[in-house]
Amino acid sequence: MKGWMGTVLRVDLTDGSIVKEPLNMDLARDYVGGRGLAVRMLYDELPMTCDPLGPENMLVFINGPLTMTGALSSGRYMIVTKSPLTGTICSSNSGGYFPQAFKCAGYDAIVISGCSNKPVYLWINDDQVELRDASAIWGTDTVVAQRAIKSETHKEAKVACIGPAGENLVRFAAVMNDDSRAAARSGVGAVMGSKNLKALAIRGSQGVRVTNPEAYLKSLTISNHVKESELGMAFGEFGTPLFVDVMNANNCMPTKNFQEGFFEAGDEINGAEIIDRTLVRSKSCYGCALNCGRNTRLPEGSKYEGRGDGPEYETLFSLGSNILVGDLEEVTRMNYICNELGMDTMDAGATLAAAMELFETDRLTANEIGFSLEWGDGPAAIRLLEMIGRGEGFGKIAGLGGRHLAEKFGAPEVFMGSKGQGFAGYHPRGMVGIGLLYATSPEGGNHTTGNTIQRELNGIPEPMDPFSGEGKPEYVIQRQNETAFVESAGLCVFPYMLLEDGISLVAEFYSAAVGETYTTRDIMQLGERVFNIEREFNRKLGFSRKDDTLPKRLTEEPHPEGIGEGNVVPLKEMLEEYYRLRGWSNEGLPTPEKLSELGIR
Amino acid sequence: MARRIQFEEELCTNCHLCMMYCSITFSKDGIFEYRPSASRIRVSENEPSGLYIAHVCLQCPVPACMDVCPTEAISMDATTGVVVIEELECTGCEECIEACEYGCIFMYGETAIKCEVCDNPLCVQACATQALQVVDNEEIEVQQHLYRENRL
Repeated sequence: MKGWMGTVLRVDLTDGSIVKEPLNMDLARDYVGGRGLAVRMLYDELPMTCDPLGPENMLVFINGPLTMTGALSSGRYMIVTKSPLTGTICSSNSGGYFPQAFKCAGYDAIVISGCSNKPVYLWINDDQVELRDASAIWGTDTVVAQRAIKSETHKEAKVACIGPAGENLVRFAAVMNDDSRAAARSGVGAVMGSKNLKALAIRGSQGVRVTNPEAYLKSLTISNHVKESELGMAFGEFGTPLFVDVMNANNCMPTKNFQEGFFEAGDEINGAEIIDRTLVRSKSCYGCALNCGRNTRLPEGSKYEGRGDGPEYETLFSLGSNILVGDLEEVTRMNYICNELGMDTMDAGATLAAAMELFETDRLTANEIGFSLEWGDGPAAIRLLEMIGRGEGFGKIAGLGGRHLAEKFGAPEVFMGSKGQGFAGYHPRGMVGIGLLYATSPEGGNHTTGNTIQRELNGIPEPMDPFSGEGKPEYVIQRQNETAFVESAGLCVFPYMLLEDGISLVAEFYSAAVGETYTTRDIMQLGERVFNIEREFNRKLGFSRKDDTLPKRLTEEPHPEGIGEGNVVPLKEMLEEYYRLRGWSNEGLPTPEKLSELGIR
Repeated sequence: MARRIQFEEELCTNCHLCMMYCSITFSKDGIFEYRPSASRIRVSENEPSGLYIAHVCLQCPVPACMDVCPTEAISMDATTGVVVIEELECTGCEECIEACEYGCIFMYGETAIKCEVCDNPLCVQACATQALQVVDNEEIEVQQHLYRENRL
């Protein structure tokens, strides 16, 4: 079967051994690749009780059978591991150019285990693989590190690395590639740091084989179709910052730690402002026509300096509206700091928002932080972010994550997240399906595992009342299963989310790669299997219904004035229906019958 | 007059779809591969200038590459003006690559490859921003300048 490269690279950092083994095609057939295949491999191999930051944890870099094919937006890879932020299995994905190099070097997956006794990086030049000393670059930021490693290896090498935040085991440290692309979530960068692994540098010159290339010509037409649709055009013009206007218009832009849904200064940090003030040019990931990336720089005369990518919408929310910072230059500077130090802007923001609420309510004082931390104080937020990434002073405590911080200072309810991971920028009180998604996502407050915005807010493919729980369990399940497949195949969720019938296109593309016919139904079942193996994994780690929670702010505090006024998330009702439709027990656990129906052994 | 692919730098988003689709065009023996290293057009981000540049042969009216080829593997099509490399005649000496000051000839395995302008080229079809167009003219100065300033 084509699509896969057929080789898995195993690197044990404890003894330095590097082994290539053939991909287990039975597993690949059942779990596809990417997220699904990696979770299954870890399910079989990982000592479940391991410390996520100990040598026993394993880190899987993986692409999918559709990565680097002509399928729409196929330049993605994932990092799968046991998360130090949530304690669950997690998958964190990224685009850019690294995924192309990774797959074209000839590997489907790189499985990293053990712990090196000194800083190293892994250099992969097609079939030549070696561990190299990284002592000289340990401590450098992600931009410096990428440049240094490129100059030590090959100008065509693509680098994924950690920054000081990963080295300092910040629980939401990211792995950065191609300057500012991030496998941001769940603290995958801290796992790399715990293993003394600074980076992977890869140069790949092999080809990715498919059975029927004709089928992908459709991609070209469809990407034009996506680009020419109303939403697609806006997306191409503004990138993800487009959502500032969309969310604000719907009273769904989380503001002041999710107390509100409308940010008054939204117009100061939206896509149009970015174009006016900081945009250098738009950019794409490898093999993607959507062009949603933003290369930016802080303008001359600004109080800050810097250049890089973004901020994306999630950052405009997490380090903007949610902490009441409405100054684009401040948010952009915070974004660059997170990129350079290598940490997730979303959980950095969730942590800052919790800290500001703790400060406001006198649970946390200027004495403990070292300075005062009022809502909307950009310079203070910038200072704290630096301290988190560099592991200095109060930053060490904040770097353990927002949940830990809120618990430590006696107000666990002020952390806006689920399973320890901060929420994305879609207010669940204004579209309750998102609330169910956050509560049931395998790694907590994650918006990419089955986003419902297109339907709840935009009525595509058909309208659905965003404030009611009715029909949401069924729809969330559908989206979760679809997305589980998309992320296992190595595709980006964006274009398939924008298309009305994206999943049947995915089925066509998958069939054209592997050379066997897969229907939409087959694809959905594969996605369901992936979602269930993740749930089963988490069950073994002790997770169940008790962990599928949302903070009281979302389920009890009414939405403020505007659209959806007075609404709360009817989580309990949705959850019961959700478990029933999933075929899980009332405790939210996959039943033996369900597992056997899905062929999970 | 020469048929050639014209590249507009301002429109390029660095997506590399042209490279993917070029390489699939040249798949051999019924094995279809997306293999950027086999592409006859190369996109790169120029480090100092930050520009995204697609290097694709200009089909020069007086091609330096043709002049230096020791085996006369390079010739110009009298009708279209397209400069072609006869793969079987190429010894892989890389002299043409040295001679091309625009960085538009590449090594792939043992042979030199370059754009020979397909009929209805997939690279052009794949380019979502119309940064690539098939044209029939010799107005290559702008592109020459761009390539000279941004060597691969």
